[in-house]
Amino acid sequence: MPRKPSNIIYSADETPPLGTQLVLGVQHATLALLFIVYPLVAATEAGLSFDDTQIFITSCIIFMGIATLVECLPRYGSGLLLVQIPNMAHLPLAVQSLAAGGPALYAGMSLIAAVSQLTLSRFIGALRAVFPPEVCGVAVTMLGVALADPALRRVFGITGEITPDLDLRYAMVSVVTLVIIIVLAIFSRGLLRLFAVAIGAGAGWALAVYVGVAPQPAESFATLAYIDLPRLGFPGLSFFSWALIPAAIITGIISAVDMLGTVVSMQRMDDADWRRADLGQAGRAIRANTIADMGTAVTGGFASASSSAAIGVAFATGTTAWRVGAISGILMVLAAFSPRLIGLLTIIPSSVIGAILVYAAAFLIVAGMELILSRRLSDRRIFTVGLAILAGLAVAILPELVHITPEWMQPILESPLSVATAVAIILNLIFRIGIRQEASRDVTVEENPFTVATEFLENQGDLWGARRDVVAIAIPVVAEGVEMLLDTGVAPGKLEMRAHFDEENFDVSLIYDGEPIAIPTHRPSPEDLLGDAQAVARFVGYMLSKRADKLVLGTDGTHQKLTLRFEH
Amino acid sequence: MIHIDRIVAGTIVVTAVKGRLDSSSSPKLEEFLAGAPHEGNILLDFAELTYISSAGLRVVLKATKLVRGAGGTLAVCGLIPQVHEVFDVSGFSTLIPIHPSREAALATMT
Repeated sequence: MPRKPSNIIYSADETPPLGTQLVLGVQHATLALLFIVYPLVAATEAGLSFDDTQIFITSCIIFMGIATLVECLPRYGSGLLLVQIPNMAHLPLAVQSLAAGGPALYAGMSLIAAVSQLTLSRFIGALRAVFPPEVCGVAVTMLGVALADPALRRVFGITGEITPDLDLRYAMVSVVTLVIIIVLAIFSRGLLRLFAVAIGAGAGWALAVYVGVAPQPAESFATLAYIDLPRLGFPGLSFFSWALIPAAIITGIISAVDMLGTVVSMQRMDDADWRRADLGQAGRAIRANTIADMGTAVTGGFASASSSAAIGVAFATGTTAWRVGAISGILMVLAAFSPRLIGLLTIIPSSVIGAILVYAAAFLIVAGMELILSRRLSDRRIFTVGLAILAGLAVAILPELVHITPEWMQPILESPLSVATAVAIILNLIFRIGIRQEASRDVTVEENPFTVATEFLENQGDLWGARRDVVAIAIPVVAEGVEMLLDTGVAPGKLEMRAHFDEENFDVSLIYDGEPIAIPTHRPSPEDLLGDAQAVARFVGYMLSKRADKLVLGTDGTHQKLTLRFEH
Repeated sequence: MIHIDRIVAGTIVVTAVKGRLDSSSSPKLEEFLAGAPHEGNILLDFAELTYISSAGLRVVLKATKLVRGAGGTLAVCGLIPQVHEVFDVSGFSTLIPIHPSREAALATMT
């Protein structure tokens, strides 16, 4: 069971009071439903009819809810608080395929994207070497960076080109919303913190109405029914667009990487002793998402994926309980029965949403950096991370570069997240070339054991990307072992220090010619330190066995071998 | 590698050790403590000690025996977590009084 961080009130497996679950579920569901603006944009761009748009949105909401529910359930999903929103990565695919072949072609392409995502999820467990913490960290950081554009446009009320007559009332609403959320999240306790996002959004909305930047409801709003049966369609399936198939496959891969980023962020937030990504858990979340995406495809809707904005809400409210996510999923499904409610959500001021996105982006950028820095960084890793982030920023800062590439490549190159993650994965694999998982050096009695252990293990830790805390624990224990063997003469003159790393364990073996030492199971008397060489060796051997996670005595050919294991 | 200071605080002689106490540096502390009077109370301030090996523990044990033999008390203070772990695992924390800080030690020993 993961150890709960001090800033989390209710962790993944905990059960908040029912009232708290409900209110937090409403916060998450409301935020998620605000993003139906993405399928609305796609439908408008593609010129869908009113009826087709209704089906497009309703199917999206229902399967967002179902996917959220399944992803949150511990047995069938991830057991984490993951909340779905319409998948922004699907926007280019939806616009192009809806325009080229209508809902049937988008349904076909969406199905292909889901299958490519599902295929990747089947192998994700075997891809541990492809997704070390620094690659996951790049993905999480870029999730935050990717939120910057939509967040800041909403903060400043920018809908098209930036003009000199910027209306600062939008920014004022965003700043007030953001300050309230941050102050409540940092300085308050109890209910105020749990409802930080809702309180901030409510205050921001009221201010937007007061200063006159809240959107007015459309005339048709009054005609929407409070309760109505949701309409799903069956547009058929079309796969007849060879030009769009690569884009569909790439969209599926981007969605899987996006999901991986959000899952790792939640794992990290929920576990004070987080060590590495639980790829099995990520695979289950992605599978639940793909099954929902298949349902969305055949019922004529827009695909969804887990929300990075929800991670910001979880952090602000100090609650990562999966039950909250499950309730928000049920609420989303229920919301599909109320056209009036959905209509109401479309008039929440965009500058309020902008503030929530800024909060989430800030959290994700730092969470990604934390992941990157959780491991020792060699020159190779520094350039893997640095170049990957620069590549992601390049397409964000210079989108013109993307426009000169072949059309089929543009969906992947438009996304800073996918470009940065792809570069990180490729550089990580290239830079692994030539790194052996085992290294050794001789230590003589003239050398200082602590200095030698520090230099050797830190250097290897950098090359292997080992965790800083594990290397820091190993150094004094190994130095103690070397000092004991050489100073007592148990290892006459010199020994070999051999380190091995396999992600699960950091092993250091001390190999020497001489007599084996005995490791007592009970602590010897401190007086043994004043005894002969074997008495000192026994005493130190006992200490080593307690300070390393495991001590193994054996032989290596004709040599004695003392192995100190540190779990990684 | 190692820096040793002696401070007399009333009836207590405080020996502050900075750096690493291993096989190469512990003879210096051993010599330093052997040259000090063994009567009265001795406080080893290890607040700036970053590493201690069994050779360092041996010196502490010898000093404890000398001071106790002369009717005095030897205590240590200010251990960082890594050094505290060594004292706990080796059993020294049951043998020698450990204080969280120099101030706390002086208040108790005076």
